[in-house]
Amino acid sequence: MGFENLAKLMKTYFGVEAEEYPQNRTAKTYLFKIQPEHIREVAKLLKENGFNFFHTLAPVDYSPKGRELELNYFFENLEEKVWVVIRTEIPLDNPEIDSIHDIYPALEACEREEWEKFGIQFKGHPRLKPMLLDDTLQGKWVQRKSYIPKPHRK
Amino acid sequence: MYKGAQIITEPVGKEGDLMVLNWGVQHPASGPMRIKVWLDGETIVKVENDPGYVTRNLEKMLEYRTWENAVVNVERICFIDDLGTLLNWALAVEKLAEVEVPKNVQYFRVILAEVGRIVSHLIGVGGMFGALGVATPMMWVLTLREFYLDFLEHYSGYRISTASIVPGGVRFEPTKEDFELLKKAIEETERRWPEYKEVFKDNPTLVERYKGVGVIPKELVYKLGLRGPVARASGVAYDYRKTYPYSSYEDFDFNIVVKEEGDAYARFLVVLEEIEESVKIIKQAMEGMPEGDKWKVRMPKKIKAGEAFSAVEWARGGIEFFVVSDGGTGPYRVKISAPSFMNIWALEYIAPGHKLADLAAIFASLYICHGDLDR
Repeated sequence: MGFENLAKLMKTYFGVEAEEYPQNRTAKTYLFKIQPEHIREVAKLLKENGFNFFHTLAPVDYSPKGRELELNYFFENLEEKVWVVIRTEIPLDNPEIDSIHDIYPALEACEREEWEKFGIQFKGHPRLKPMLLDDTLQGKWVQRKSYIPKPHRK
Repeated sequence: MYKGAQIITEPVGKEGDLMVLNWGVQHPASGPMRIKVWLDGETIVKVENDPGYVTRNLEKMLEYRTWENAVVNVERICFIDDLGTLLNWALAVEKLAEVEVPKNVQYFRVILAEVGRIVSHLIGVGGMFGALGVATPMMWVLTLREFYLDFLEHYSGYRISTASIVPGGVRFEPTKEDFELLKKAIEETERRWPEYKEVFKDNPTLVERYKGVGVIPKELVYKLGLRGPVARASGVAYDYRKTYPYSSYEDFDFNIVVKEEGDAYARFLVVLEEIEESVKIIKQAMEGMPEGDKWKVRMPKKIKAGEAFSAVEWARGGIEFFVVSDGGTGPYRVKISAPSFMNIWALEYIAPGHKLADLAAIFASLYICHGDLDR
């Protein structure tokens, strides 16, 4: 249980080291960079090691910088007060990743939102249907850098 | 923006033996949001949320802003407590730029943030009564709220959406008259509070409708990542001000209000009692205000590439910003993780089994703001 156990297991199973993540102003945080196909196993490991609180899912479109779509999952271990960021990169022309909503139900709404805004296909998600955006914006993946909004003023 | 006819014309009426109802968008208690309810007689069988009627997509808008004028968009996440989101934005940008603000600014920011919390919680308390059709408490809390708005107006020129906390400090230097107005608001609160509390807490209408209704067990808080008063009413003592103090919150003596029951009444009590704690913090901050005449630190126009994650305890719970800079004059990407967006999904778990009339009580007790639900 706990972060140390998690770091050990992540090393053995996926060969990734925990990196310090000083960018979190709030708390002590570690960063794991994983392959997208491992997301489900990693989520299960997190859950088993006391990371029971999900905070947020933050995708970033790095296509103008010559990179792909980056996904950041923020989890917290409430007892140890340790945060973990799971970072992975998926290609923008075929953005697909396994849904982990059944392991962390809090993610169901978050994944649905990011599907709507980025067009990320979360495989196995039961409710990928419009939620926040106007009908005229559906399917335009408004949060991608390739989408330029029409200005109000002429 | 008008949502289009497609969703509204979905068949409602009957589905097998069940009746299907649209609760909202025009329901007096729902706000701009639809809740689709499946009913067996009077009993709720299933509930589905349909938010998205006030979406502005602030995350995209922010990408076209500079670091400083982004405050205009950030404070509009929810107008009722704009100061909490402004504080979080300022902290995130300062983290990116590696700037520290002086202690007097930190204290004054605490004062502003707590005023924002009081202003929001007062409306929240009134709104929880309003959902039951009891209008008097709303009038009472609005008269009290005016005193705090007077302070904000005198300080910043605006009553709501004050734009008063900016990256690098606060917008204006507070004057003696500002503090006098705030002192007056505090005195007025303390004078009226015993009566308010007596009338609100033991209000027979409220107690009857709220007690034992919409119980959120502790496990559901972890399961759905619920935040703020909703989590604290279910016995999870999570509050960024205490758990991970920021802006000198560690200097103040206050309690986190935690209830174990997890029902709608407990959520109401948490909101009500947090107002007292906020008053306590403001008084301490005013007394212990450190010397200093610098109210704004110079911020760079361009901030070096990097990222920052920042979170503060806002009126409705922890609000979190993930900000990415590419070295430009504005953010490259901002992710806003808002508490109402997380909390609203609890409704789908707790509403089934209740009577339709209880839906208003449960919904109001979740303390949702549609601004930060849709963003």
